[in-house]
Amino acid sequence: MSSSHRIWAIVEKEMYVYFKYFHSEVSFAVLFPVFMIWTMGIGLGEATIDWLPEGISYVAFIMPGLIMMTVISTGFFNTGFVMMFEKEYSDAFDGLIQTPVTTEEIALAKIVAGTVKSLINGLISMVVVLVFVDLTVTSSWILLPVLFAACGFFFSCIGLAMGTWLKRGYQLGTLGNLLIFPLTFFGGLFFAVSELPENLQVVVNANPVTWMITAMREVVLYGSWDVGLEMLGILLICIPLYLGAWRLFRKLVVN
Amino acid sequence: MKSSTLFSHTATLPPTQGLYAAHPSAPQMDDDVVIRLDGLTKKFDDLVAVDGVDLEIPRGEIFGLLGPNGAGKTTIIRMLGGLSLPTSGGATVLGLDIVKETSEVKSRIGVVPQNNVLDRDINVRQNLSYHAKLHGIPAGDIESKIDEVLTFTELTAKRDAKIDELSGGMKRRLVVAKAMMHSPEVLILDEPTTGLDPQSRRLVWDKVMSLRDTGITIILTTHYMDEADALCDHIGIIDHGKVIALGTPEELKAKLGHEILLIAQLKVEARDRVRESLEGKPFAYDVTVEGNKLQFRTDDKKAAATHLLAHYADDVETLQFREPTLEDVFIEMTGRELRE
Ligand SMILES: Nc1ncnc2c1ncn2[C@@H]1O[C@H](COP(=O)(O)OP(=O)(O)O)[C@@H](O)[C@H]1O
Ligand SMILES: [Mg+2]
Repeated sequence: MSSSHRIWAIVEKEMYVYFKYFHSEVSFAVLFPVFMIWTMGIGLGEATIDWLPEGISYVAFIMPGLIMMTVISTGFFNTGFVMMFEKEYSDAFDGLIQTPVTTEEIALAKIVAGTVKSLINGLISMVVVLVFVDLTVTSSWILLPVLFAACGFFFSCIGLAMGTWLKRGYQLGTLGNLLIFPLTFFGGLFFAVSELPENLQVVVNANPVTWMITAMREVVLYGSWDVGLEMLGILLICIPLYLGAWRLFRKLVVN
Repeated sequence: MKSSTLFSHTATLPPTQGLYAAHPSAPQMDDDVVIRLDGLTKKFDDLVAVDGVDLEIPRGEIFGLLGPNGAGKTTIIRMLGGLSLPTSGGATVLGLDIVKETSEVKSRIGVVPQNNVLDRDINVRQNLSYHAKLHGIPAGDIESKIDEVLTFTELTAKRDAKIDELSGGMKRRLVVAKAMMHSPEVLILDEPTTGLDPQSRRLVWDKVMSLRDTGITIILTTHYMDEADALCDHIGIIDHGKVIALGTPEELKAKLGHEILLIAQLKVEARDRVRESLEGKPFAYDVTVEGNKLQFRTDDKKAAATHLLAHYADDVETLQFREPTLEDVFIEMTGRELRE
């Protein structure tokens, strides 16, 4: 019996449940971009914004950030709520930890499952956006799954930690909104970082979500391959996030 | 499965000595002791839930932890199963340290906790196969093992049912089936029959006894004294986190000195008169009255009955003798009743 088999068993079960409730899982990934495209389209129409790059509409400009928001929200909320409900509102979690599976394995499996769900939801959002917004697909789009997975992992770690720590659904909901909206809004979702005053740029550039959205734009809008620095930054921060999530998980689960 | 020789070996152990003596110096054959608690202690802030328990549980029998709600039974079970860490002291299960060798312990014991640890997102069969995979049971063996445990717990017809479609008794049995999936050497059941109707309760008893007969060591907790009495080879009575008595049901009841209880219903006006007449009589101890009921312990049935009938025949409405129960043992030791 090996560790990877147990991790796989948990991921497999998580994905089974995800696909069982796929209709509700997928609605956010579909409806969120549709709603944003629709309202932004109506609100802004063909309004010209002088700092926008040549040939790119404002609606197209915000799409990478919106897709990233789907990825981030899935990572945080799905991983967080699955964990919290299992622990606080059902007895299934006790059934899981009474098996020889270790806390490391559970934490990793939950985060991997959250990552896969984020990846799937991100790809669905991407397809939905392509239906409504005119974007040129280039070969560098092959980077998108990698980017989605990295960002999904990043927020799954945070989701797992919060879902383990908090005891009530509304706490997790509130905290997630307090975290995700400011980070994405200050991550250049609606504006170009280069348009900000310089001292503010320093702050915004220290936000990992800025790197995520920037990398998305580079790939989706400009067909660029040049996202190595952003990817490296995201992955480096994933390490302490994962270790922190696992340690908190271990501390709270067996006491 | 363990061979039945181990079981019969246990059955020939001399009463109370040896295994049950909680002296660390008592010479023990490790092979005969499946679980050993050594000063096991758990504190929740200021509350001492489990208070330095020393205990040895022999192989191949049904061992009962009997105690009222809040005594610390579940806390002990959770520590043995690796779900909770001791504050101090420790324990071994099958010679394995419950803290340092948790995974190994978990793979060799089956635990049926107080709550129904079932996953409602997946059906009966999937719950069992998920559990089997987490236990590393080879994929090719899982289905046949599922058939086996479902047959044993009489749930075959519910193989593809949703968890929410099961009755309380069926869920309980499914948790037992789950705990059996990985063929544990020790099965720990926390209040296996609490909340069940008498029929389901009887079924669980039958299953527990037939498991013991296959050589599995069973530890169960209960606050039903009749359950402990009917099922267990040995019982530890636990109160406020401490084991206050240990022995076979017969040995525990014998602590009351082979006495019998005499219960008499009297005319109310005669009650105090009759009570006074028993004072100082060698055949009556612990005389208590409640309403029109007078009760005392006696080791001389004949003398007690003769006394009452010779002098108070007109006042005595009914007369009844009762064997002492574990409940009486508990009351004797704690001054309280077992049920809250
Ligand atoms: N997680 C916990 N936090 C605080 N107190 C607890 C916790 N678990 C149990 N207790 C307390 O420890 C004592 C023993 O509880 P428990 O082991 O559940 O008793 P039993 O199973 O015998 O009914 C009780 O007073 C209970 O309130
Ligand atoms: Mg209990």
